[in-house]
Amino acid sequence: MSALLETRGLSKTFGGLKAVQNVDLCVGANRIVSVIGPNGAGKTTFFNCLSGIYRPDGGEILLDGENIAGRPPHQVCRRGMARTFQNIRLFPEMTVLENVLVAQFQHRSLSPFPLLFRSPKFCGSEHACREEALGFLDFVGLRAHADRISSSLAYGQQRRLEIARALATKPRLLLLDEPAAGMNPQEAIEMVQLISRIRERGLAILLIEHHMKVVMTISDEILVLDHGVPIARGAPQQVRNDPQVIKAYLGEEATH
Amino acid sequence: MARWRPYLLGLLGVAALTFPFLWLQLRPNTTDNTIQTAWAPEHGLQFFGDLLPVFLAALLIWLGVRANRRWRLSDTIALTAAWQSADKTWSRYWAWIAMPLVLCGTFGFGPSNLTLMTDVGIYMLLALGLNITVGMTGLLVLGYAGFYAFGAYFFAITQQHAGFFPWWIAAPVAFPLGGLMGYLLGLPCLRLRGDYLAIVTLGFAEAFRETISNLDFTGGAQGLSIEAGNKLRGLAGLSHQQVAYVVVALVVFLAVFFVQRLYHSPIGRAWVAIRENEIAASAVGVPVVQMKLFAFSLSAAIAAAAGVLSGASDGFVSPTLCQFNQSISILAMVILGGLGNTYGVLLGAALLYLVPEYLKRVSMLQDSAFFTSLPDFLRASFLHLADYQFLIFGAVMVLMMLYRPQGLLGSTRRKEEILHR
Amino acid sequence: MSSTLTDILVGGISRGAMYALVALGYTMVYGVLGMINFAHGEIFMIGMFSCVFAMGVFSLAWGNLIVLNLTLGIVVAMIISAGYGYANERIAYRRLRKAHVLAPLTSAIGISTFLQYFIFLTVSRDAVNFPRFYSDYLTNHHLKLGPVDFSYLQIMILGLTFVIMCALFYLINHTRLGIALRATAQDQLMASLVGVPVNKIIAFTFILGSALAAIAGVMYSMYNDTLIFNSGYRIGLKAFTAAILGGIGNVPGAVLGALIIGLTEALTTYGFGSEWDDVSTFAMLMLVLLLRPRGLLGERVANKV
Repeated sequence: MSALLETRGLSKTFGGLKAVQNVDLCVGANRIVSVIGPNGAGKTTFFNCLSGIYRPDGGEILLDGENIAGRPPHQVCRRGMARTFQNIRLFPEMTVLENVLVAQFQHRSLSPFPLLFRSPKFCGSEHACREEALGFLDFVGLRAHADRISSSLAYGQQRRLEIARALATKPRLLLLDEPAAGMNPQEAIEMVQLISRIRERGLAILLIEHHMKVVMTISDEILVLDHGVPIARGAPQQVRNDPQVIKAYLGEEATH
Repeated sequence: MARWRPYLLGLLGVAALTFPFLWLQLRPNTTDNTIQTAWAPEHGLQFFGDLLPVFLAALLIWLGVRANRRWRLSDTIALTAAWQSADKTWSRYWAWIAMPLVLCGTFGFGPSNLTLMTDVGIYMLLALGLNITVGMTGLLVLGYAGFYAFGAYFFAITQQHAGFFPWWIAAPVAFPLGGLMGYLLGLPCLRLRGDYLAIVTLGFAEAFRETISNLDFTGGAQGLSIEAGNKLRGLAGLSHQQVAYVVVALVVFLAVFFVQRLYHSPIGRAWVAIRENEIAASAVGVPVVQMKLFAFSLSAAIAAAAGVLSGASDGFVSPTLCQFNQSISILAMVILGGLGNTYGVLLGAALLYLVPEYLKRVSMLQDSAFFTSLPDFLRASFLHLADYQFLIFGAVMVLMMLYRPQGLLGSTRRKEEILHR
Repeated sequence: MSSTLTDILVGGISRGAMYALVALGYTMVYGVLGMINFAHGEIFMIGMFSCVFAMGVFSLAWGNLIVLNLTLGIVVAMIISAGYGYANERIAYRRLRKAHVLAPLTSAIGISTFLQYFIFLTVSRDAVNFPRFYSDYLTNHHLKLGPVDFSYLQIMILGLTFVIMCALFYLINHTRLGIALRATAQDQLMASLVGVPVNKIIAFTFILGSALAAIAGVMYSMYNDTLIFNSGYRIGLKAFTAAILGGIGNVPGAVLGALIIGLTEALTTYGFGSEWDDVSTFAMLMLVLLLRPRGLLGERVANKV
């Protein structure tokens, strides 16, 4: 099975710190892979390399066979990989709906004359995109809040808005950076359901998460990083019992 | 009482720091090339005296704000405005109502007022242009007047050599050329940090000013004049001031029309997204560098066109067009009006141009009705107030950023956005 | 005085040294706050004027004693500039630290404009001449070292700058204060969590930069003989460019950049006349940004996401 996303020997160093070393990963189409590890293990750095915010110092990132390492974030997005952020990065003073509308940018035609003179085609496409955006909001359960200012949403709602926004870019692979962070058990269950529904839409998902219950429930495969180095990979149960993984987490209370 | 302590200490500190400049005076001794410092309180008193109207105005504004906070007067205004904009018919057609009103001014104003309003129109155009980069996209530009002068000098030099190059050909040509200039200048620095653009534009404006002042074919420090055939002149029974007014008014309307259309489109949303969170914008597919370049090029293009209009209406161009003061004035207009707020910057331009101009004129008309109705102590201050123009602009910029960054017409939510990223 | 190439070069390095003192202020504030302090040039200008005011007062108090008045004048200039620098930080920057980057930048421009016109209106609209009585001794006497001819003033400028560089290097790399400075520059939040008084450190950075700018101001006014309200604006552009050329945030880079700018300026003046020096500065700026945007000694810093 050829993978949708494949990294080979991905590395990133900051000054003397080897944040990510030699990470090999395969994400197949419509699969859910989780990346876990203690804090500082390099998970978000890994995501930042994948999504183009950092340029990796070594290795390749193959999205559908094409090496996208070092490409800027908007080009990564155009090739079908979208992401959410660990510290939520919404457009704070835009409305919920406007946040999603921005994400449709790459699919919009920018020809000047229809845009400036509001041709019927332009108005039609504005209307259609609005409807589509509302559809994404509906999918995450935020349609009722479409005209609220995004910074006024509750934390959990903001996370879902970020997901709706990422989905609006119509990706094939979604990178979720700690989607269940700060959530109570009920919210975590809802997040798991949301991720399942995203998979049902045909997307592959790569997940960073600390919430072990979420990880164990939803993942097809888990990759464990410690200090930037992959120390285990495989099915959830396999990884759970791996002695190296237990050692890396030693002293940490397992959440739930 | 303890609450006031930091302010009191601050005030004392400021008083101490400004002490030598306000209350002492330098007395150079040319015989032995030394210097003495004399105690000269008169000029410090004159300083405060001249600023008296400003302090009074500030006091009135402060009282107004406090009253508003207490009795919520602006809510009524906001509600009325909201109703009007919610009613699509009104908001869609306001321009059709406003435009004839403005055009009536052609016959309503006398020639000197027409020139004044034409200049206001040009500054409105400039503020609109700068607003696209600074206000909507959130990139600081410090040397905007450089593009303004670029357009003006392009017009002046070409018409000098080509003979026939009227403003209505020059403006549409200067527009894309200005855009190209903006593109070339922006390309190296928009990939980098935001503040670099500010310095590069500043450097450009200064280098441009130096170049045109030094070279002969650009007229040196005197500038160049525009030949009669190429500038705005009277036609169909209207005087040339009237024609200039109409042309500039129409161009401003056109510019507002297009800018608003851009703002309410995927492009405008992309710009605002870049301003609010550049990394997130990039992550959802907005090509950040390209959009910044587009915003900057468009701003430069508008400035260049405004430069042509300025040359055409004044009849000459000179290096003062790209002085730093010009750039600062335009920036202050955008800030006062509200970053990103199209109608706000028009208001800002009108206020910051008309108030100093009016003050200058008032001080010349010593026996005008307004003047004689003032009490004695204020009359003297008004005479010199125009000199304090940039002092006040600077203070306005600081105070606006600290207390009302959303500008005069901005909403409070915009204030939250700017102050608490 | 003949304008041979060596004279031009010496002049260039002297100017570069003065620019370096100002560029250091820009680069240090950039290091700790991540933004450019547009009002820094005005601090330079105020230092210039403060010195002259002080010398005037001393002249009345105890007469015209060159060395004493000048030295004390520089000290007073440093104190007053430091005061303005601190006020600048408290008023324009502190409240806006967490705001959108446009807010403190615009606020600083406002302060810059305000200070310029404040001096314009209260001190003098035209240029003021530096009292030659104090600078004549330094400008008229020369020291010949082989083919190179230095005026005492140039020696003083170069010497003072060198001493200050060494002192700054020692401060930043070998003292606890220096560690606190570097910590704040790298990560404000962490620094505050480990007990670094971040507000005080930032204020100190402004004060230190301002004091250095004051010294540069006095030197500059002695070198050029005139003081005018927009001197700060003029030097600001050059010092910015120098800081960027050397790598913004990098202290030795600022010095290197400033020396290069000073030399370029001197060579342009030699070749084309002094009316072109802004053009050459701008050309240098564009060249750096096109070829090596991080500056000569700057490092690539990745964004924290």
